[in-house]
Amino acid sequence: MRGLSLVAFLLLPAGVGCAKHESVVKDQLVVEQYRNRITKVRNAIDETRAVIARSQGAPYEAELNMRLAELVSEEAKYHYMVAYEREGGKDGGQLHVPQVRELKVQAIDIYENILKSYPDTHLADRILFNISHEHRELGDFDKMLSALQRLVDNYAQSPYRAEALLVLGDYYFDKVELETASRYYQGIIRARDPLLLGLAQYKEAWVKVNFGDCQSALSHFEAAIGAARTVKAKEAKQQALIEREPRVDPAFEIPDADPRFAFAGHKSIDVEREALVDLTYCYAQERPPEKAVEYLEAHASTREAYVAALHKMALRFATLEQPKGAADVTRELLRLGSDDDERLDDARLLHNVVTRMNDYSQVGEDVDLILRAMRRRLLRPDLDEAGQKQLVREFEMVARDLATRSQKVLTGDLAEKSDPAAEPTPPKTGKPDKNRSLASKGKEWNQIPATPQESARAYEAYLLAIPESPYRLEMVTNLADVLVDAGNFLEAGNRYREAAAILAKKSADGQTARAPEDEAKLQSPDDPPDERKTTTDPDADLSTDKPAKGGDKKEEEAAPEITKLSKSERASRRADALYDAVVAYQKSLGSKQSDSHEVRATARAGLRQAGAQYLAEGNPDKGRELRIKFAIAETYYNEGKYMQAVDLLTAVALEFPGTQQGDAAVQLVLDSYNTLNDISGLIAAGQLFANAPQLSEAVKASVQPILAAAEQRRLDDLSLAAAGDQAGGMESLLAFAEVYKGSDLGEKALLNTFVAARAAGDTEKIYAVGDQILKDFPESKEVAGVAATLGQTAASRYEFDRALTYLQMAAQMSPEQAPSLYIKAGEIQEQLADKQGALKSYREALRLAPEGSRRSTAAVHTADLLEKYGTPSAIIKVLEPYKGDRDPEIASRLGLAYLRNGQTAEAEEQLRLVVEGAAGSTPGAAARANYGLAEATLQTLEQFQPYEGLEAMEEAIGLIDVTVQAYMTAARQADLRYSQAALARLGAATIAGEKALRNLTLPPDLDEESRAQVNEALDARITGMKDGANEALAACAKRAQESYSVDAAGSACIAGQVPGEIPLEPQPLADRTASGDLKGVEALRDTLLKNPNDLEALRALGRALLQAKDPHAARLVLQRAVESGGDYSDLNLLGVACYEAGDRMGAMAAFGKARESGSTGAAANLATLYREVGATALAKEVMPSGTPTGALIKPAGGTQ
Amino acid sequence: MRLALLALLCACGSKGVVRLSPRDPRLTADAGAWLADAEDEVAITAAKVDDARQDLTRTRAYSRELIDRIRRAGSKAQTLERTFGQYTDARIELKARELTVAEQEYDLAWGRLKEARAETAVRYDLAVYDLAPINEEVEALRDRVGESEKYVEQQRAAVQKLASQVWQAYAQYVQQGGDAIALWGGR
Repeated sequence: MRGLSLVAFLLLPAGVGCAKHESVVKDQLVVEQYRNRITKVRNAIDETRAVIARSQGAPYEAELNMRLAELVSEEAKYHYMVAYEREGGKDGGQLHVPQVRELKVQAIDIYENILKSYPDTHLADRILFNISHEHRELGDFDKMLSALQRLVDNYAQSPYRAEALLVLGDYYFDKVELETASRYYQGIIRARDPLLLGLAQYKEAWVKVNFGDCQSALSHFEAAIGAARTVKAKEAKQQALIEREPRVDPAFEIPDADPRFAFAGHKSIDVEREALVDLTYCYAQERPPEKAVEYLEAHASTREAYVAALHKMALRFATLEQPKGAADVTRELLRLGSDDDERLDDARLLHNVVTRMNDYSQVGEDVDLILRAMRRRLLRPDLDEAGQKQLVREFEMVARDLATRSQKVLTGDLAEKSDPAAEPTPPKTGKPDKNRSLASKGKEWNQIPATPQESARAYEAYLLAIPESPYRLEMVTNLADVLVDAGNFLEAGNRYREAAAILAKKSADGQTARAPEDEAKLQSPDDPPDERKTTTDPDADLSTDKPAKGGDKKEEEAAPEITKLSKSERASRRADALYDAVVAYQKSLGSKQSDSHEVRATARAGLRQAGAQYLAEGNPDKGRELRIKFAIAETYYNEGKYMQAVDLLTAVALEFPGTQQGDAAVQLVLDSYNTLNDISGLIAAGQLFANAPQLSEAVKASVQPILAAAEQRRLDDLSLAAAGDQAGGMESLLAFAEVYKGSDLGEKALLNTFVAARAAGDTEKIYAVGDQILKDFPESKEVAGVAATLGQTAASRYEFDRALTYLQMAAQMSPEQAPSLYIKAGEIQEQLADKQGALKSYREALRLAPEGSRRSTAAVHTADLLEKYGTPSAIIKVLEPYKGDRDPEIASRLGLAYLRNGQTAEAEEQLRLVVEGAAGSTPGAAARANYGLAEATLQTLEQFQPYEGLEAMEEAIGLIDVTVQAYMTAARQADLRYSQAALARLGAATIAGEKALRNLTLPPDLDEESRAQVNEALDARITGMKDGANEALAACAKRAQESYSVDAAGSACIAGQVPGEIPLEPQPLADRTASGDLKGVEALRDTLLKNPNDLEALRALGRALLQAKDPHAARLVLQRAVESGGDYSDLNLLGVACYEAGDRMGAMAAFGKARESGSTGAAANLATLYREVGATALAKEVMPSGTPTGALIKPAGGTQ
Repeated sequence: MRLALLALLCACGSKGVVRLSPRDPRLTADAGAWLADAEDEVAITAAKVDDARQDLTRTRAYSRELIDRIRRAGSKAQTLERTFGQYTDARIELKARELTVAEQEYDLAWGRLKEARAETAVRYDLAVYDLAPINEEVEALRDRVGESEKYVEQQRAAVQKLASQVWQAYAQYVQQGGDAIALWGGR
């Protein structure tokens, strides 16, 4: 180990020292390589010879010799290559290499010996082929041909035969013995050797070309392409199979020295490509030019081949002066071709042919392709600055020429013919000169104009490629024009603005300088910031990557057409550009383009900017100013920015009255407010316009209905708000009414306030507003309704006097409503014991009511009042005129009145009318009628005059039965008063019946026994009648007691006495002495207006009224309290009020019900009342023990 | 928006009153609908507050822009600037008052929701509340809205009056040869 370390230590410096001498290993020289190979081959030859020597007679001896010959030939090849390399790659024909010839001759000898020694060898075809190859290289073509011909003739199945035919064909082709060559090529084609078929077709095609048979040539070229493709496909398939199989080292074999490939050299030929390229010659002659590109594309398998073919085709078309084909092919070439000088030629060619054809249908792409070729050329570093400028100058002109020509053709400014050899010489202004000379050389073509879109594309390509063009202003303007034609108004607007910006920059020497930054600032907010420098941004400086600066010297130099403009001309052109921009943007907003939000936003922003710039420069054209201002305002309107729109449109309307836009502005302002639902604003604007002195009468007239509708709508809105549950609405309505005082709107406002106040239960406002309406608008159709509502309101508040005033006022105002209003007033008056007043009201109602239910109601009310206070004759006087109405209510009352007035027949007629038409009568009318009929029947019974005979008996009995039955029917009616009277009066029928029966005279011829039987029967009948009458009285008494209805009939029944006359005494109320104007109960009244069933309020108000000595009013209030769920105390108070008001029956009923609920006060009151009507027994029965509690009437010891 | 508001309702719904859901199975359909309406009212008024706030912001921005434009029109437009200044200030004030009303309506909607919940809870024996102060609170909120609406109407009237003056001034300005760029920008 130690020894090793020592050795390493000693070797280290040596190693370090060696490292200092670096030996550079150079590549072996090619010559040396060949020399090595010569050595190797020589060794192989020696070895082969040795093997041959050892293998004499062996079956493979021929193969060994064959191999020897090939090695010798190979050695010859290496010698030749050594010499070739030694001479530095000079032409092989000048080389002097004698050993090569020696070796080849040697090889030929070996081959010939094999053929002699082994004539049947299977290698014979290969040997012959090799011999021919060696002869060819030795320049001994006759021997070569002989060998090949032997091969072709004798070895039909040989794989070398086709190759031999090819070599033979090529030989004769080169000798221009085309028919012979063709024969050999045809031999290959017939043999269909897959490897050589394509090549043979290709060669044959060329033979045809040379024969001038392009049609056949094309077929062979196409066949060549097809065959080559087939071979390639097979090779690709085999290659794929090989790659898929597992890799196995191939078995050792003699290296492939197939002489076919080395000899013919066809392996290096891409038949497919060559055929494609070469067929262009014939294609241009035979096939339609417009299909050329398509044809080549279909037959090309690689881009390189395609481009090569296109290039050749373009040249061919150019030669043939076939511009259509040349144009198509050149375009394709410019699209796909490599970046070299040929593209520039292509671009020039394209310009030439397009202008020759006047076909601008693809001008956009043409300009783009031409300029793209230019730019690609500019990128190459081998072009100096001068060359670059020259190139740009040339192609700027070419592109400008095409673009402007296309626009001229589009607009019809260019003549039909064009110079086929025209140079691109556009006028300096960029607009083609109309007098430009147009030659007519060559074919005349029909003009094919570009679409506006294409033309625009051409300009865009121009501007993109040559941003520093001195003609930029004109190009931008032209572009804007064609964009308008193309319907791309938004972009057109942008371009017009760009033109304006260019002009502004040029005028930065103090006249109308405008910082581009300002314009950029005004750019649409929707534009992304990084798009500011795109070609569509009118404010972007495209000449540099920086924002443009005014007074740029370079620009001044490069823009001769602008520098020639005077200041005023520049300003004028800038104004034109800005105005055109506004118009374009406006069109954009009105076109389908504006379906996109982005377009809308951009167009609006652009319009506002361009318009504002125009206006800012103080251009004097008023027409344009109007149009621009209106357009700006309209953008806000369309964008929904109504506040801005209203301001600007109003300004337009006032500044430009009498113009179309000014008038439209008025309408748009109003519409803006309408859309915003700002009715106040709408009214204000309407009033402004209606009163503006500068506006025309027609405009004002058109505003008026809108204003009126707005005012009405405002009123409706306020009314709806006031009707809601939010506060404050009525104040607004009143304010509105004040504003429109004296007008219909003012009236409506007050009416709606009145309605709102009524809905809200705001009494103060109801009366105040109602009175104001009655005062301010006495002629209004609504005043009657207002007065009636006021009356109803007062009645609901139990302000009866006030209610009467309003109701009567309303009745006087509205004849139509008068009957019902008078009835309502009469009812109140009746309840308040105002007999005369009520009668007057009812009479008025009766007078004014038309025939029908209202007249009936009025009549009934009148009759009922007269029943209480008047006489039967008075009732008859009132009702008789309406007898013909056959109204049950009238007839029943009139019938009773007749009866009581002694007019029985008239009574019966009226009463029967009711009873026979019972289905149509009310229960009250039916009860009255039945009772009346019973009384009438009783009168008949009482007036019965007995006569002798059994017939009289039968008549009397029948009459009695009818009378009793009539009372019984009356007693069964629903009306307590009449049923009770009928029961009471049944006894009278019994008395009258007994009298009639007793006065009967029996026939004298009646025997005693029969007489006795008859009398017995009569007695029994009388007894039965009496029993019935007694039962009726008892039932009557019970009913009176139970229903607390101790009236005349009830009292008689309770006393067990039959009333001597009709027991329907009048029940008048006592006179009212107190006033209804009671203080301190306003809150209660308000509560009741909002809720008429508020028990607490009703109770409190009833007590207050009672205390104020107004029992009539209190009776009504307390009645409502009882109906609203009041308890016994309320009933007792109601009884007290009724008693005080003179309504004894009402008082009795109320006390009775209160007593049933346990009120001792009510029982005491009831007992007192019973005593007053003579029902002492009942009084004792209901009298409570101990001290009664609750309100007591005076006779009961109370203070009331 | 709606979900966020509902979340807000869940978070802030109690304020001393039980948070009853409109879908509470103990309630009738009518009671549920009432509560749902009250909740909707809160959402709607919240949206109105947003709208009113945005409206105010837009009005302020536009007013600044408008005055700036007039100012740039030069010395001739000084009177116009003053008149329009008052006008735009009045419009801003109007929008501010409308925002106030919207906010108060939002408070009212909350109050009404609270009231609806309390009354429903009492009606269905789910809780016991003294309803009087709650009702009074709602009434107070309602009155406050009513008062504010009056102020809005007053301001609206003031704006309309100023609008009339403004446009008369503008017409006069134009007749006297005022710079046409005023109101339109561009400088």
